[in-house]
Amino acid sequence: MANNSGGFNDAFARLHVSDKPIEGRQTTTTTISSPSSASYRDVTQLFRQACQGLDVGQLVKDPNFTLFEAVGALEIMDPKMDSGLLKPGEDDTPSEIYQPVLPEEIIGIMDQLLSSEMSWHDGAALSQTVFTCLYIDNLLSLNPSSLEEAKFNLPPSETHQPGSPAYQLLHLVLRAYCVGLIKCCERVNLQILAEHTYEEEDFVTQTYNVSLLDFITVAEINKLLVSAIEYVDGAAAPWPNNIKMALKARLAFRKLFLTELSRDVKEMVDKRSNWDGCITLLSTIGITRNLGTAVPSVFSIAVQRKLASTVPPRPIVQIPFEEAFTIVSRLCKDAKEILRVLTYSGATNLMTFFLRFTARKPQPSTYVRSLLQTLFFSNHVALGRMQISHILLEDVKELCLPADDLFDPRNELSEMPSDTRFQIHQRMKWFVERAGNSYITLYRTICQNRSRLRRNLCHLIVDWDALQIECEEIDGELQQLIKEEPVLHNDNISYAFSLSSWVYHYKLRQMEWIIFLGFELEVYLPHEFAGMYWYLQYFLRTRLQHLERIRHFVHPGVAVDSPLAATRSKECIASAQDIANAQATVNFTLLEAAALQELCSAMIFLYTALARLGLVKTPPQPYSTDVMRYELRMKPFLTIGCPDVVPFEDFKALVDNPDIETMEMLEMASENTKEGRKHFDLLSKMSATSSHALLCEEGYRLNLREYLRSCIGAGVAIVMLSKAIKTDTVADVEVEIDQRSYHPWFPVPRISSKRRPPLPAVPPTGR
Amino acid sequence: MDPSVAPDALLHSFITKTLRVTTNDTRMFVGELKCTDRDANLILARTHEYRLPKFNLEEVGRKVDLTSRYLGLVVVMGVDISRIEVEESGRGGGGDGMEA
Repeated sequence: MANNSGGFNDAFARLHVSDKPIEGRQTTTTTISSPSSASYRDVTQLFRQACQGLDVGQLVKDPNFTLFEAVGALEIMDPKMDSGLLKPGEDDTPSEIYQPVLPEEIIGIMDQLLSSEMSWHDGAALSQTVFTCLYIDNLLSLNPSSLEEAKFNLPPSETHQPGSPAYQLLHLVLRAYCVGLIKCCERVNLQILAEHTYEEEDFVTQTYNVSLLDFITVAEINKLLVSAIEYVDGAAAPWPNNIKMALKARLAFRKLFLTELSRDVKEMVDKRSNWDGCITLLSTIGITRNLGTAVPSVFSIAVQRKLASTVPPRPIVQIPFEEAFTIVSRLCKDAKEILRVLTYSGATNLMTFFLRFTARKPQPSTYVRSLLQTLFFSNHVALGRMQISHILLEDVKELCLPADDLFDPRNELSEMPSDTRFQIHQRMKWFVERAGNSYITLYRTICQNRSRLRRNLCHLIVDWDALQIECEEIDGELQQLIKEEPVLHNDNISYAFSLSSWVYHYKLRQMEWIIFLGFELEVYLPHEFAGMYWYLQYFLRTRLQHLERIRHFVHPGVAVDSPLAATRSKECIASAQDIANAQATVNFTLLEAAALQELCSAMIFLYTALARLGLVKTPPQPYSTDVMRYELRMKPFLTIGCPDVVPFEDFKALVDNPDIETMEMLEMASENTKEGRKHFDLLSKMSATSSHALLCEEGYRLNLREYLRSCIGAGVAIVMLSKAIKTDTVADVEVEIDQRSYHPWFPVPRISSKRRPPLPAVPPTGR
Repeated sequence: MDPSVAPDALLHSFITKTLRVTTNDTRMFVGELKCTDRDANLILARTHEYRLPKFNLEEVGRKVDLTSRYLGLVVVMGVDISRIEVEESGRGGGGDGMEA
């Protein structure tokens, strides 16, 4: 039996094999004939005979095992599933690694490695990217635990005598670069694992049990990189200056990039980051790009055969260098930009930054979005040095300016449960804890990818709705404690309800974002546009009314007659500046909401008119109806207390407006675009300070310009359509909905005549 | 084990046992048997793959590095199997015919 296939089976029979999951590197050393080893008995014949006694389709299985689980099994010997399968004639391990001699080849390999690394950043797995490099594999395969051990294990070569430039090139320069790159991957992985992102969707953190030089410090690696730079710079390296410059830039970039990726929040707060340095070195890498010679043979998919992986094999991903260069440049720029949040300049500014930064196209990388979450809140500290309660309360004050007494530091000092101050403090403490959690979650959610943002907002609004109700109760108790004087508002006597007002405002904004993101993510079909804009307009109108109410209560002299007036500490009294700021914030928010509402209204009329003219058609819905679709769209909002979801019949009548003539409808739409444009123009004239865009003025203005473009685009479409109706040429009109050249929340129909070439779109703003 | 026992009873005795399965391409898979059928298709849980080293075993003596990796749940088709062995615990070195 043992000699049926040479020495293999004999040797295998005496192998000690361990069934434990492997820790550390993917290869384990197994020793033959260990005395304690389990022994195996050949049962091939017995087993096969027994199987033949079974009926067709009969299974013998573990009662606890279900075939459902078997769906996830890897099928051995299936080329699509089995990463270990060798093709006929294929060698087991890749043949000897090619050992480059020329510095140009080393530059080429470094640039290929950068492409692999950035493909990983862009969402591919390590097994498809960095790990496919045979030099990386060679370096990691012995599971190095110290820098000395982290070296290439290559057979001696005549062209690489120790000490020769070719030898140094490989064993110092390329080794240092590879070690640095692996450590960069480790830092990135750690950062991404520390925050909330979506595995496989945003990023693959799987390392297949390979340790990414966890035990080697960044300082040691930086030293190695420095010695490599010194060698390249020195007289012993016999290469022309441009080659030296190219190698040096790559090594120096690796060193600085690693340093930046290793910074903790404290260092960033202390302004020690130097992403600009990375950007400068990158430009040198870009210029010297053509000096490199690609060496494709040092990358191989065969490496996947060795990786502990419960997933089928995946192809190599190596994006072109230009693309990788764009990704890494953007990463450095974005990582630098998010440091702006550390110069805190008010809660509203912070929120504007998060919204504008994450809305960018293409979206900032997973690493940067993860880092932004860490900067915002980690280890119970916000922005590296603040308490989250401070930012939260400032956000409330910036919009609603609640009564001064709620924020009096003396409240906290009171220990007598019957004391009003004590009772106020208890309630404010509750608010900070309860709303603080929702507030942090909101910021973190904004950092997720756009589809997840929309989905998660649908859950968040339920929480904010509950929070609103809870806060109304607390507001009621607080108004009694401070003896708040009611104010006449809209013929009703009313109280400020500051905390719940603030919550309601945020809730409404999130509801708007859900629908706006539906447009951005192209969830809705054109025939639904009118209805969805109607809902937006409905939410915006509700928010406008709410803002009017808030404005009514933000005024000097609130709670003058409070029983606490005599003992009030000076620092809590809202200054004239605070009051002016809150009023300015409300006015600005009102203007912004009004502008959006005008544009939404114009879109309702425009898309309804297009539907009437048969230019936007409802596709056949064999398994659906308008009612079902409406229910689906409204699902996130059904449980929300206020505002209500409108019954379908009413909704249909409100959107379709059967009593209004199409021409009249277009005139109204035209009025709306004009009003909207006026509002957006006003907004663009406001300073960054009053727009709360101090941290992201450029992005904010770009966004405004895009709104304006959609406004103008809609205006043009309305004119074209009216003209077609007047000249009775609707039949010749063609409509194409443009999602790309306008604001992603306001796609515009491009209207052209079939007889004439279409009008060009408004030139893009370079987003 | 007596070959005259009913086939499914015999096979049931292998369920949840650790098997070492050699495939036609000389790889070995060690895992816990979960399920089998008439064609001797096997489902193994917590499986490790073992691959033959490239060099000749005789030359390096009795110490050998064998590369293994964890694969988890796998299906091995009966037609691809050249050998099935069952682990026998507690009987030190006892496999009959193994020492030949």
